[in-house]
Amino acid sequence: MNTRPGVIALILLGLQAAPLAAAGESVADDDRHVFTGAVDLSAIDISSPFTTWLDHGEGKLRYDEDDDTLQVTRAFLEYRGRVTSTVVAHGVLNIQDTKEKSVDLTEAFLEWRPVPTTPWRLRTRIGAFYPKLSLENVDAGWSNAYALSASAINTWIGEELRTFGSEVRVSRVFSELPLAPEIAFEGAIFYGNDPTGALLNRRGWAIHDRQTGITSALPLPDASAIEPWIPMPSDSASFKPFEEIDHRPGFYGGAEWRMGESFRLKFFRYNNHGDPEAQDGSSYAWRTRFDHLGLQFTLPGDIGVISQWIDGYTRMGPDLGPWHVWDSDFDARFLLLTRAFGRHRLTARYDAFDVKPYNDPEGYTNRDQGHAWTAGYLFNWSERLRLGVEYLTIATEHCDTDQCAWVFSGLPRTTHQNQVQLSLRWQFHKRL
Amino acid sequence: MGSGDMNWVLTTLIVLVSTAAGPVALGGQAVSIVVTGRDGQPAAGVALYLPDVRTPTTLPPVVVDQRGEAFVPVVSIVSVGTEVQFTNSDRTSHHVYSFSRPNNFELPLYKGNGRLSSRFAHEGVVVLGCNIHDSMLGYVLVVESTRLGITGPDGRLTLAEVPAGRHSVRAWAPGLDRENPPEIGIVEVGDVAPVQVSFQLASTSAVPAPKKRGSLAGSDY
Repeated sequence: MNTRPGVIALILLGLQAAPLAAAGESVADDDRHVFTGAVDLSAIDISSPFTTWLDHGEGKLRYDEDDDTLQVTRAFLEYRGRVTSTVVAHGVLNIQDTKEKSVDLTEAFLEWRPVPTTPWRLRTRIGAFYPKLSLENVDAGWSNAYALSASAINTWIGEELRTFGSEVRVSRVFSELPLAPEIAFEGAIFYGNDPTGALLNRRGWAIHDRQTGITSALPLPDASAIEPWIPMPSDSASFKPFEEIDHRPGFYGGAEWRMGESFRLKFFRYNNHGDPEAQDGSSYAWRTRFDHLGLQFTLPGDIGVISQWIDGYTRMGPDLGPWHVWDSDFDARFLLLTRAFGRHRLTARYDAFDVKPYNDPEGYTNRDQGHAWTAGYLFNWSERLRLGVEYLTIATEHCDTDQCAWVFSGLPRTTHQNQVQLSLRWQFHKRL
Repeated sequence: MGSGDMNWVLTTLIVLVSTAAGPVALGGQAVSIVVTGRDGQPAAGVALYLPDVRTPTTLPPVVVDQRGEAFVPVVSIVSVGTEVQFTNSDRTSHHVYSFSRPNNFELPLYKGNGRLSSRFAHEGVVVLGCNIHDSMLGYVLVVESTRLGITGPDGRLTLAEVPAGRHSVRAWAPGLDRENPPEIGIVEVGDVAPVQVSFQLASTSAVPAPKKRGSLAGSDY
């Protein structure tokens, strides 16, 4: 464990303690500024033949066998402040001090919430923010509320997806009915996010809890795990997923039907509208499109069920007619069951994922097809402390036949990566 | 009050009316009404009123609290012009509003504001929302009547000083006709013996259960 996270933790500790000393719970508090922060300390044990992708390897986990130690895996500070009675400022400072170190914002935006004058509500966001896609990452700082690591889909959203633009959401509650069903429509226009898809195309899916800061870079594998016969540009050891390269706006739209948290069904379509042939220095734009479906409901016995599904493609490079030089289809889905028992929570999740080249000559290409099982337990020990333990195992099928580049390089067709993680989260919530 | 009590079906209602024992109050008698669902369980949280009793009376303010990011009670009933006090028992701010014209209003219940009052000048259902917590939903039924109230956990409502005569009883809960809350029966005041009447409603309804933290987490995103 190195020293910087300790210093960061002290700063966060000081921030939450100072107002306590100054004012306590004064009646004059008007709740204008709300801070939520956390520091995650983890002991991780990994069994994997691969170096982590964060060190340019093929590993899908955040760490590898060299990292079986105690780590401060994350610290964050989320701020929500009332600018006017209907405008709220949001920001999340995210600190990751292992592997690709970064101190960066993951979100920074203004939200305008005009007081409704009809049954329709209008909500708009402008700035840098996550699209409302993840049904797992619903806690402060876009933290996962159910497990330590996110599903493959939400891991990827944390890695490569962010909106730099404005989003409009209209919703309506059918208040005459007892369970108050709500329908919502949303759409956004954004810039940035042009290289989105590069990591998925070259590394495949991953499962972890790391989020990319809005100005941060991500490493790429030394050779593409999917299309290894196409030489990578020599200077593409890393890339910034949220850069603007082609000066064309992207857009997304979605519709949701929900009844509180007990039922949610959401359809979402994303298109970064990237120009696959656009290049800015050593940065490349990818055309990435996907459809997404999210479903959440409660089974008898108060068992929560969450499922998401994603299907799309990402492509880059000269247009060769039927395909581009780098061109792959991706899809993934997961099913999560969770049950809270007071301060305890048990969660089980099954992930299935796939990335394959669009141009696949009879199974000679690599692909990234696999599944993962996650079992986790979270315990809210106190308002300040949360304990967690999680077992994660990922099995990946790297090609359809024994004739692919992966096998020719001497690696087995199927590989396994396992992780056991013990986590202690220290957190605070402070209103000023 | 368990959630099972709240999820009654208001298809059959039994209204039990009895004249109160003891001294007769000036200007009428106390009337006790018990509302029961089809399953025999008490129907709690239902707004009842006697539409033809409009005797000018100064009624005490009605309090609608914000507690646990919910309106408590979910359904309130007030007479036109009566003060409604919105209080905030939560540690978080609320910004209460209603778009229900012509009773639309907006009250910023930021922490430290104590209570803010509103008076509704028109009959009708006022749908309440919070502009900070979109999931909050409440109702205030505004009526001309001055004999009104909400049934308690035992399904009972006692109205004071009801004038002698035959009075229609109307009921409202979310899901029932808000333009014209259905009449659930007639009470006759003046008889010495208790009166028991049962009624049938055309539509079904349930008062929303209080927000309960289940296995699925609330969403910040």
